[in-house]
Amino acid sequence: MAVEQENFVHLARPLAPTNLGFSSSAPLTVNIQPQAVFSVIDHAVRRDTRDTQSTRVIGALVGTRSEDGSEVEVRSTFAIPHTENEDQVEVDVEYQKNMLALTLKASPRETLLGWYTTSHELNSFSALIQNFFASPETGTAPHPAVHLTISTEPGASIETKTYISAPVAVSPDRASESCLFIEVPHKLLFTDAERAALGTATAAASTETRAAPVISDIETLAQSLESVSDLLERVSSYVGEVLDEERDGNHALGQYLMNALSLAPKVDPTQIESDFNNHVQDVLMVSYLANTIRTQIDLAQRLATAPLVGGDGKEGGDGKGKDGEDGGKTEGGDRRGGGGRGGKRGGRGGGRGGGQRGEPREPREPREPRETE
Amino acid sequence: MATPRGPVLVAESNSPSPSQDRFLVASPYHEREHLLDLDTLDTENQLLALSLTKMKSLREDYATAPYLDTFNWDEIIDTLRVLARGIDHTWRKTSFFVVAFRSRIPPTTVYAELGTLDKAAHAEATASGGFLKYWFGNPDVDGRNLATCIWRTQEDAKKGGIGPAHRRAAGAARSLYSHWKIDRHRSYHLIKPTFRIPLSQLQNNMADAQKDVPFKSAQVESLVVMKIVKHCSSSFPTPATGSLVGMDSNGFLEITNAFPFPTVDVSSTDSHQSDASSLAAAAPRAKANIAYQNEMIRHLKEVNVDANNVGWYTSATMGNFINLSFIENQYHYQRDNDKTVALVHDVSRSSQGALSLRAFRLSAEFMTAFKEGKFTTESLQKSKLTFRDILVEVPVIVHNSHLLTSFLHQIPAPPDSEEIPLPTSLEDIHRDPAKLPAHPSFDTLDLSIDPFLEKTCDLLLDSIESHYSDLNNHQYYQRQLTREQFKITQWQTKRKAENAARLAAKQQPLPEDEWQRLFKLPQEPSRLEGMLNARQVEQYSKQVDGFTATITTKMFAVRGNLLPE
Repeated sequence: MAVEQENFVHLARPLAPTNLGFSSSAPLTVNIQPQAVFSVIDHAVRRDTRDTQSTRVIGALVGTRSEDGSEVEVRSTFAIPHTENEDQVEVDVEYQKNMLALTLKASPRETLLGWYTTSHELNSFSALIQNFFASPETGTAPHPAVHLTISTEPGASIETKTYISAPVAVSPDRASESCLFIEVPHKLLFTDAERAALGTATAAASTETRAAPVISDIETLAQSLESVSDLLERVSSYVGEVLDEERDGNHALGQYLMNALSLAPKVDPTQIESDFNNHVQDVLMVSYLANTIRTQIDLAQRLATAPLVGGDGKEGGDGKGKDGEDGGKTEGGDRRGGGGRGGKRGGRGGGRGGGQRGEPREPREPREPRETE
Repeated sequence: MATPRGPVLVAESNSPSPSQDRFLVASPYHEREHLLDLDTLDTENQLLALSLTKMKSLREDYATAPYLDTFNWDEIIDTLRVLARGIDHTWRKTSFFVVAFRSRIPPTTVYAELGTLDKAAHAEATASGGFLKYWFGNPDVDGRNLATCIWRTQEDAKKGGIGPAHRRAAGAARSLYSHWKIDRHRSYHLIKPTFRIPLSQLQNNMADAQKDVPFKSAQVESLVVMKIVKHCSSSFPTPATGSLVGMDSNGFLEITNAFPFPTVDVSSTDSHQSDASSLAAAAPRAKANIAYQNEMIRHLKEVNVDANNVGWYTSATMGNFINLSFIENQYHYQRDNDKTVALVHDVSRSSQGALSLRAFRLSAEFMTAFKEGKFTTESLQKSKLTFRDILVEVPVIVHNSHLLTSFLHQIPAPPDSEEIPLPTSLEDIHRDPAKLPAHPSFDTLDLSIDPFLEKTCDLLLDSIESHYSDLNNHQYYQRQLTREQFKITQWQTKRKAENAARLAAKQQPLPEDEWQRLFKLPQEPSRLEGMLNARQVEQYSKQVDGFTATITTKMFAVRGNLLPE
């Protein structure tokens, strides 16, 4: 899933005259992973309002860059303490250096990409910091430094923008505090693994308390089914309205719906019925056997530590008991492996195994069916 | 027995002095000379005395229970807050002094006699002033009882205890009670400026002195969830580990940030432990990583991130995380700080739709057992520890900040206008498909669930295998033991016969306990491995149950769809 800005004109990016070894002028694309945005937002929330007048915070962007440098992926960020007032800005360079070293130690494949701030304003301080991050000694040169701005104004929607820069100045002595910011396209990129996490976060976002428990698979499934049936309801009411001539029909939508409906396979009912029954039986059998194994192991554990009254002789007996039990267990495992071949066979095997296992120890027998059924 | 301790109880008030009657019933006695004169007290103590009228015992076993657990301090403080609200009075730091009198009387004692003495002493103490509350219970079956006094200050308590009536009662205590003990508690402070953290604060401070109050659930920030998911999935299939920071408050363990541990460079380590995954699994307790963690936390502290370590996280595949390494890591953390948790992110299960993030900690019983390091049959019988008691699962709650909530509501962006323009052709729809929200996700509707079931079954088989080898070890040990014991018995009979012969020959008998030197009984193998395996099997079979539930649901749905009735 990617949240993309629409309609972006790609322009060749400006080249710094110093970028001798790096001649590509291909458009730059910035992919931002959600946890990077999340941590920027977290940093914005945790900003220290006591000893600085600025409302924005800054931090560094860390991630990977493609070989030709035309695509960068922001994977993580870290915050950098800084203070800002009307006439000066202070960035803790030492902190930035240490933190970068620490971050890169944990993820050696990543590099420094640029920096972020939490306001859309671009001023001469921004230029100063940008030049710091783009410089060859402390920054990303020869690659351009990426500047990400995320607006965190209360009451407004959160917007993200990315820039790269080109050096520009009216006079050489002012070059360090001026640069030309050029906006580049970016998108929020979610990998499959993150979708589940994002789903849970979104679920939490739609509750009053901003918190949601991590729920089990079956509950998730129930929620999904509910929302699917809601969507189907909506579509069918739309179709109903069109049929009743309350709304104007739309050819494209109609076509789309027809295509979707025609995807349903034509099947033989008896075939489906028997496949269905077989599969359900297999699955239930696997579940049954898994629980049998659990019971057996549980019992083995109990027997292993059961208080033995009779001393040595009894201990030997206990060993034997476990022996017999284990025979049953391995069998259970084998049978389960073959469970796919057919529920009936598995069932018969189960009965036989049960009988065998029942022999060495009578008291166990009555509880076994109770626990596994 | 409650021990003296001084939790800081923080309180705030500004409210008018409640217009109550001047005299307050502050004890079980209602006569005039037993009433507390409110006019002798300042506002803070007036309010406190008024709230203390609500004081009651919460437990049946107050005679022996810890003092702070015994009474409804919660309610008292709430009452105090309600009373205080509305007064234009600046709350000054106030303390009070608690005396607990724990006693045991022989069943033959005439209780009424004690009562008379007690009443006289109380009247005297009330007259001396500053006696805010007196409470006593009834003796339990063993004759144990608790009485408690709350004084304005320690000086007041002393003054109240020097009169003749008190001395008489104290003298009686020596002769009548079979056991008595007075706990003089240090003062409890009620300080400005806040009531916001009243009882939890009290409990937190109690926790230092006493057994910990365990947290009920782990509240994980979305940021942490995302970071863990990213780290675990990028290093898959090698296990990924990292550290968690956050804080403990109000029975929640808030986990507010996380950072990964550096991956261990395989080439630089010894060849005999070059297995990358086992190294990665042991990462949280590696020395280099502890240093790394401290350094990282120090840096995070500078940017206002909670600087307490609250545990660690690890990745897992189909729930296969229960092993010795996991236990050792968590033990390493929990030994230093009890409020730590292990978050387990199951990469394989999460990829199939629903996020699988679980939090575990070791149970207190297991901690003690593991500390001793003894897992023999005998010790397990004694401690009644079973594999179910090893890990305690803590519910996980995902939490967002306000700013993040507003950001999440923008994914996907809401439509610009109320009226969505209808597509003009099929191409339009394909080019710009509708963006679905991330929750509820439709990935869970995927029908190919059998691979997961198969994988779990494979893992289950492996577990059975290791169970079997564990069993073999044990049987080997038992055979060895029997053999040795047989040898010893043989030796003993031989020695006995020899001694009998020597005795007959009037010679000195040979010592009969030499076998302890001659024979060595084999060491019993640890039961821990087996217990962990059993716990793992339990985990797998529950997982199978879960899969079965979803898969049957889906199958019925498919059948219903293909074969409409």
